[in-house]
Amino acid sequence: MSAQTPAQAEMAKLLVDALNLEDIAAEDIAPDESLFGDGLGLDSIDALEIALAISQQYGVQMQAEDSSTRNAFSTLASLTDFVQTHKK
Amino acid sequence: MITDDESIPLLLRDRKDGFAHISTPLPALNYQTGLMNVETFLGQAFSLAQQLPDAKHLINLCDNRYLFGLAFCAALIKKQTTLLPPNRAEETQRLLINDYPDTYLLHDGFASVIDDAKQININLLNLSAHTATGSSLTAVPLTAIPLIPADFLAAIAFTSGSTGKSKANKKSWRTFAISTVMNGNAMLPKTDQLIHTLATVPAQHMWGMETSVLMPFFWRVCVSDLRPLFPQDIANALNKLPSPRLLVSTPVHLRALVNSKISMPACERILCATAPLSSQLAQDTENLFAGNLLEVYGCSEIGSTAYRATATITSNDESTYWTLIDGLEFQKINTDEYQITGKHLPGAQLLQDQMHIRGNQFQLLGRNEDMVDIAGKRGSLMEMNAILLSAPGVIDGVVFLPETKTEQVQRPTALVVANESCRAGIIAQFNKHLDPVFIPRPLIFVEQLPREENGKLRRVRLLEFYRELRGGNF
Repeated sequence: MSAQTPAQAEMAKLLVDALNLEDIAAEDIAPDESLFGDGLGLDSIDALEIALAISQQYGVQMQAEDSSTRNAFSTLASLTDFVQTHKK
Repeated sequence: MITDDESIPLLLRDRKDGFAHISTPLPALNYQTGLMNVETFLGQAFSLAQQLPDAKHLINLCDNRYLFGLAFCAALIKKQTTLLPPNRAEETQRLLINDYPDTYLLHDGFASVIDDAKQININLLNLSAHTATGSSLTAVPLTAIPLIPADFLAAIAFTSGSTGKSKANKKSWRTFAISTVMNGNAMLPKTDQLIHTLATVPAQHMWGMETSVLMPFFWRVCVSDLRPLFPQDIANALNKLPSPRLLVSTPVHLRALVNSKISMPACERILCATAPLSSQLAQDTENLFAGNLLEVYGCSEIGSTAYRATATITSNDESTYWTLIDGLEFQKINTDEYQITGKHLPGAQLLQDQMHIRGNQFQLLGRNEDMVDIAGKRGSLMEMNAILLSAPGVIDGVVFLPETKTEQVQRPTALVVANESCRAGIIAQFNKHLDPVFIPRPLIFVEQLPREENGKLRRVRLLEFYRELRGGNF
């Protein structure tokens, strides 16, 4: 497992806080582990919560119809990259 | 509007009127997008009906709202009963086929489907053959809107039951057709114009089925095939629809919309159901959309049952009352015991929630504590409990709802007495049987549950125990 970058660590904390993932520690989320499905097992309601937290913290609006957003949700690393690229 | 008791038309609409907005390019429709009128929809439904395999039932797993409605309509034409599973888990599909052997799966290629069952992918069919030009509908004489026997079993809607086995709610065409007329009277804005609807809820569950699939059969309603999730997607989807607009949603989605600070196009009417909505969120929603919000109360036995204007609720007791949808009434069976009747229902229905009744109005006193509603889906805590206890290595355990934080999505939580190494097996067991939104979390491993000597686990004690756990290192 590769170590989290500072930006990824910040995103991991946002995920854990937004979703009340009490049995998962932010530093334990591997940057390239899948967030949905077999990895962390998140679902569409989580995606909505994450999108809301990201818009509040970074001013970035997620859109599912935009394929770059869909890809962004695959891992902690891709989500962090997406937000870093789009944040104002 | 609907008078004949023996049979009821498949739909009552002007053939040239708008029926749906298609935004998703779909192979079944030859990638055609834009407005579909009633005639085109009917032509496609007849074409699909001719291509369906012979069987008594089908499980409709279509993810796209338009294809779901098309498949439901084709099944009606072919006199096949649509089974609506409580979730799309593969184990659920298997159990349902076991109980209803003469069944095939109908899907649109987006859902995960068990491979050992008879099945058909609607997106591998060509439905545009009969509607290519819109002028020569060879298969459908222009006069023929079929009559469906009113007693025909149009669908069986399954809801998670407390016994761990799904409860079957039978819906005749009479129930669906007449309740749709009643619902339209109660829920739609009063206008002569075509109403353009967007729903954030799935079509398969009763709330979405009633408002986004059945409504256009009997009302001047044109529904988008989309099911947007993120606020920006919802804004984009609404912007594609002309006014007057109607949004069908849930408190989970409305909270995200209000908090997103994205500006929304005007919606004349917002309908919200599935979980309690605060009057503050209702007011914020009305301000965001410059429209009126109706909160709808329903149950799987009846469907939509009552409504209220939640934004107008004040501390005044009077404003908290719900009004029964016209066509339903209370019938007293004992002191303080009531059931609901309606001419279109198979029988009187007992209510699971506690209420205080006055005429055709009521106040909710307490909700049934077994049922959990998340974003339009219903699950039973007792069923989740049974699944937890059936997982390998689990000695004891309980699934429960912790105390509410206002408007936060409330997830079931599980306390488990087992070795930590069983975690993956427990999650796998839940995945096999449940919709992902009901999979309990956090999953907390404990030494033992705070049971009393007689083995009972009281909620008060359980919540205390949980608070202590959280106060510690959790």
